[in-house]
Amino acid sequence: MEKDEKIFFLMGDTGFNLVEPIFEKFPDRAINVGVAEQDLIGIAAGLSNMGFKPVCYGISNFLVHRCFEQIRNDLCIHNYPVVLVGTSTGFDNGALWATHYVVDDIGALKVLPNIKIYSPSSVESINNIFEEVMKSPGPSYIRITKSNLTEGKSIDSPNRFILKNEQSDILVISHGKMVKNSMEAQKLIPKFSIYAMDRIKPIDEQELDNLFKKYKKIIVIEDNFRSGLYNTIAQFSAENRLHSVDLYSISPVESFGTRIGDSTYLEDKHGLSSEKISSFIDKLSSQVKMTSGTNI
Amino acid sequence: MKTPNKNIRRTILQIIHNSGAAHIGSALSMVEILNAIFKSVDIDKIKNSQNDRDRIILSKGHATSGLYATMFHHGLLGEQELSTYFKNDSLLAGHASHHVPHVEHSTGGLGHGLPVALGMAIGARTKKIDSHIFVIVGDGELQEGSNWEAIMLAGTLKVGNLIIFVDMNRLSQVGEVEKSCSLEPLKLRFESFGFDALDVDGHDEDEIYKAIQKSKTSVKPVAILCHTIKGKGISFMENNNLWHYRCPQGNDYDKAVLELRE
Repeated sequence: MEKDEKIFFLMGDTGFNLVEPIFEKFPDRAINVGVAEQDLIGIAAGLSNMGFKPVCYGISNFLVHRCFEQIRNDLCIHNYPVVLVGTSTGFDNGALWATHYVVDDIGALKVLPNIKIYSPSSVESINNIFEEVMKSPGPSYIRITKSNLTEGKSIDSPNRFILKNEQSDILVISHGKMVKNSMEAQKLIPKFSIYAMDRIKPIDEQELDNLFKKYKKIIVIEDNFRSGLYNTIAQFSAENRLHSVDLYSISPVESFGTRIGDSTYLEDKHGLSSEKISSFIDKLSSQVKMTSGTNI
Repeated sequence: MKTPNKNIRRTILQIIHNSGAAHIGSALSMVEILNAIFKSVDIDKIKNSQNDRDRIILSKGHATSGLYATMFHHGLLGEQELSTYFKNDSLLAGHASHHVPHVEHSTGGLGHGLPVALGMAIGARTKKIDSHIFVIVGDGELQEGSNWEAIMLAGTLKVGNLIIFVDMNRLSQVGEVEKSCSLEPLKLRFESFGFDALDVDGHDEDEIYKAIQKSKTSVKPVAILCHTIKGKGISFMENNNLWHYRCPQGNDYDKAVLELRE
């Protein structure tokens, strides 16, 4: 905000003990609109019309689902350069239950033309993505997990290999917090490579083509229903007749569970813990016939 | 000027008749509101897309035939383009589209225009640009909760360059607004949210124009409650919700043409 006077920070009364410095330093370009997400997005659209680049901060559920029509009509139809920063993704808020955890945001938003979707898996990825969206002429959604993985070096692209195992024909494609879970699974069963696809939309078709040529088994691991990245990659695979690659999904079962739990508990329940991931891949590498997903 | 503006109404009638479009009653009720607004702004700044232009947002986007007709009479839309309204391959949709040059914001889903207008007003104030943001909402549209989010904040922040026009024709799609979900006492409600609120005859262009000039000096946001008649200017359409959707054809069209003759 210091370097770019176009940035205008908006939030809907979330971010206690986090956002205060922004208001202190940039009182003219920061507004808490109150608990009013529809208004939040509308105001962002109006500020864009005036030449600002608004950043809307909120808990992902409220930022995506409460004001979906505002995102569609006021941002995407106009292709306004508004950045939606959603926190508490996946099962981060699992104990607060289904109104507050979010595993259906990617699928909900990706149907909208013009919007870009990101799910950073590390601090460095967040930095890289922010540089990218600040140059973007249209709207973006960045879902940021509470997990704070650090890679220790800057990265060139949100889409990159995290780990390569040249002896294996199995590849995990993941994003957001699930990259970390996949890395931990790799320590248990070092039989696969990991590719972080933190830019979910637009999809990187060239890179996917390369990956489908190189690997025989691809597992998409995400803390979003199958309507997320898996669905996009499955479509890519079908449209390009890439049937020689077996494609799998490890993702939450498409339902609103009745039992709560913290993220560790719910990720394990939905097959997303490092133990469950490693077990799945271990069976896969042993040529056991597998189907996607995990029954709970 | 208490005589209804027949010029703009003739244009609305014609483009709706030619294309088989709907929502004529909603357009006819706000002709004087729109014309007074367009008379209050610097049209050249809009033509040149200057960032210090005043901005006009038609939130009740279904009445866009009225917006396009008024823009045509103010030189912001050509006759050829206007004649394509609601026809295949036209940019001039049945709801306001920003792809039409000089249309500030696309609308159609109700309850969107006012929050966007508030964002523009805040943006202008932040940039210290002396421009006003005019937004026209329907009275039925005010039943959308998103409006009240914006009204609360506009009052809190004292966004004095925001002027809301409520087209109070008292009819929404199905029936009377007051019978479904009452807005009253609307003036008091706006005032209690930190607005200056004025009641005007929504078909008296001079009165609306004067209200706009007065509103421009207000330090608070202003709501101008324009008391109107849905279908105004064509007797058999007035206060008749049949004309929310019906397109005037045949004898109806001929009668309407006669009534709108000078």
